[in-house]
Amino acid sequence: MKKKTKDRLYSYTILLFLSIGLFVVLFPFAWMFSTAFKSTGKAFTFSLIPDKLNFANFRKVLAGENLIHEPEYVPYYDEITDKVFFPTNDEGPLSIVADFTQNRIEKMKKNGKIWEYSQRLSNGKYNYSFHKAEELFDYEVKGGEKERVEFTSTVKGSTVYIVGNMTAWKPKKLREKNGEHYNFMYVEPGNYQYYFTTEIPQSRKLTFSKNGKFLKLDNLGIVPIVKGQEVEVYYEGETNKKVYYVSNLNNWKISHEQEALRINQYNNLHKAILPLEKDIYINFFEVDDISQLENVDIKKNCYHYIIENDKIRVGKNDFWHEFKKVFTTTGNFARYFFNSFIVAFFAATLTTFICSFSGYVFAKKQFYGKDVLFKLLLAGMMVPGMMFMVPQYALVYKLGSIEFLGIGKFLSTFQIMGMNTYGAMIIPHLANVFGLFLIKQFMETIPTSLIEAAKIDGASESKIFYTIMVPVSAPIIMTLFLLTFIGQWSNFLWQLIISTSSNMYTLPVGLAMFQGQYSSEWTKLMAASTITVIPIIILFIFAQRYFIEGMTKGAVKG
Amino acid sequence: MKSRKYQETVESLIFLSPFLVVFAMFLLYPIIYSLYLSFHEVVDLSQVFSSLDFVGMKHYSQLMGDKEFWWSLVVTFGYSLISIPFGIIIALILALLLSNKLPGKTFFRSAYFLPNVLDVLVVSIIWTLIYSAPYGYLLQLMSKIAQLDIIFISSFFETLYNYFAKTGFLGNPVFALPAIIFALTLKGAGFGMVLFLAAIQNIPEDLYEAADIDGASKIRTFFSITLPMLKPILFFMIITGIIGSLNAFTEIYVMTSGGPNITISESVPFFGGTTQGATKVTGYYLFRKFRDLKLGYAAAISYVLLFITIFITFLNMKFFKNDD
Repeated sequence: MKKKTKDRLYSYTILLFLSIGLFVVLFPFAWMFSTAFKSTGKAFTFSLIPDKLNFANFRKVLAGENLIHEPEYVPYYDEITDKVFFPTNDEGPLSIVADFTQNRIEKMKKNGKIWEYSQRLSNGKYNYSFHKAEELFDYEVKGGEKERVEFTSTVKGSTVYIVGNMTAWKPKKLREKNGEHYNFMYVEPGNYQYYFTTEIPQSRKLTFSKNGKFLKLDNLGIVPIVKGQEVEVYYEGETNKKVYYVSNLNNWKISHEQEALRINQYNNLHKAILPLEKDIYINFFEVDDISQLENVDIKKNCYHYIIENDKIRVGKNDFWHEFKKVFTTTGNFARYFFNSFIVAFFAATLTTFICSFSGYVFAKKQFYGKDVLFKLLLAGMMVPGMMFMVPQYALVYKLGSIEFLGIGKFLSTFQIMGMNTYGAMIIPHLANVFGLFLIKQFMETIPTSLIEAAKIDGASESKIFYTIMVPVSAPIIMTLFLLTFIGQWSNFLWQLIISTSSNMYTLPVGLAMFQGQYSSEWTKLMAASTITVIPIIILFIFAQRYFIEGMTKGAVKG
Repeated sequence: MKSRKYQETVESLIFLSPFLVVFAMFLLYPIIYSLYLSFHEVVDLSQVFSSLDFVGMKHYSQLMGDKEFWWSLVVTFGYSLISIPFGIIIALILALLLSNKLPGKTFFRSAYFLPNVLDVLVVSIIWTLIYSAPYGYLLQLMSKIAQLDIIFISSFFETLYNYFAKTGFLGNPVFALPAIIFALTLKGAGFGMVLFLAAIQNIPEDLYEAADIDGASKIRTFFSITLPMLKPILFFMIITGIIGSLNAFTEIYVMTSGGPNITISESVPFFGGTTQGATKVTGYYLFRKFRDLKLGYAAAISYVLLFITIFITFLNMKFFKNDD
């Protein structure tokens, strides 16, 4: 009994040590995950739990920064309270300055997660802007004369603006001297409010018509109205042509049924009624006939509505269009992911094919020069990888620029060989001696009598290979596939020197370039790292046996 | 009978041809071309490979006097000298712990192994941030401990914090290399662990029983039974460790770019008075020469690397033969 408790204590102590060790080993990855979810500027907070779980970093690195147009909340009219509400995406605390606040800065309130301001309005056009004033200052000019006042910023930054009622709530840039931001202004007598900021508050214009019950924004058009389980989306036409709409809700199909109803002859107001969904992408076209839409990129410049809890966010969205452009010409992490996948997948597939062929021959055939050849191949395995960098680069470069018969051009265009081609990233690594060795070892254990029997039955060589050798060796082929896949997925040096144009970067190259370029975008860097690592972690979880056995098998034998 | 072998040779060659073509083109030819390149020099930088001039042994003789190159070999040697024992010790400790009867053994085995399959580049980027100053996680942790008010420990961490606060770990000439090695050893520990674990489990149980009867202590048993039985794995790890240091590139590229620079004191022979990168290993030095389009010189460096590898492999084989 006593020995049992002692044994148990002993194993618990070991478990404790192992857990501490595991924590240290996996800590960097835990840190990476948590930082990937943190919001910008919070990368180095001590807590491992992100301030809020946002996927913005992932979206931004996958799509490219300038592609993300976060749809913004738009004002809405509430019939019960007869008030217009002004919600905003920005993080608070926030204030609003508008015509309807008599140009005074007014505090906004938090409604759930959203900062909001409400006001009873009459019909008309209004200007408003949201302000993020950390500290609001008051200043009074007494007497009857203008006064020269120096305003010195309390906010640090490369460019600092002053916003206040002496600037009509428009941002005014401050001068910089020795790290201090300041400006002189001549101010009329009166009471002043002002603050300093590094972000420019945007001014927005809005038209409100209570009788028409619509709100119209200058940049985004009329705000859609939710009625029960339907959404009414409005469009203001410019001509007298028919108006059609296309939307993601009917898979971007174009048909006669999607003609928007004309509801107002005078200002060409059209209406489309759609089922209530959270994400609605919609685009309107003015055409004589629907057939004209066939050659139009119907997703270009579409509107994106996000409807959540009766609040509506609107964005003018050219995401699809821009994404396509970035994906094919300049590169983003979605493209890098695609490249990495192509390279790793084809390298792994071709390697397993080539190594299985030759592994079979070395395992089961007798031929002239077998031993010499095998020793030569093994010797090739000893050569340090760095050695191949210069000559392989030279070879790829030369092959891609052969002028004779336009061969180089042919190879490059079809991505077979040459700088910035998939072929150049894949083909040089196909002769994997380690893989050949793995497969040879395994196939040697398959009884030769099996092959002899098949031969007597009249099976051809290729039939023997495909119906006997390959199915029996499936586990080792799988191992080799996985090992090559992860090897090429994380290959860095070769892909770094072979890809000079950003749309051919693979994930590691893209990451290294991102680190070099945006040295302070830590959260995004970690999101990109997570994207790089996640597929491999998933592969590992499902096929860990293959990985561990495959990687250690060569070591023990070799 | 002979004609059968002839027929098999033809068949074999058909099966072998894809492998051999790629092997000849991208592995064999480059080795030969590299030798050719090492005797040549690029004249016109706009036409790199078509403007080569024969310069004979110039690169090799230049290499003999190239202090930066020799320094990079010293750093590489230092790299192996720290990373190999450290890696072996960590892997061995983990394997010994895991060789006990424990619940969740397979989980620990897999979890420790996991970082091995992940990208070196990603690991290096993460550690660069953890090591960085002044907000890197490690420094924050130190300052947190320093504020705890535990006698001795707090003041110790405060000194540490103040020492690294300005440069971070990777900006310190003495600690940059160990810091890189620490990060990569943690990543690779699981691999050695699995190797050792398999070998430990293959040691016959009766050896231990015999030792137990003889009254040998646990430590004695470890040094006289376990360790000798692990010799092949130890050799394997030393050899791969050396080749790994010769190929070290990605981690240096990401974490330090060969820096930080140190000026070596005049009293040191050969290197005295020169300024060198504290983490500039040969692999990285080779890359820099390649990037500066000193292709002939880079090829010469890679040939020296090849000879070092051959020499080490030769030593390895000799040791192995004696062992058997």
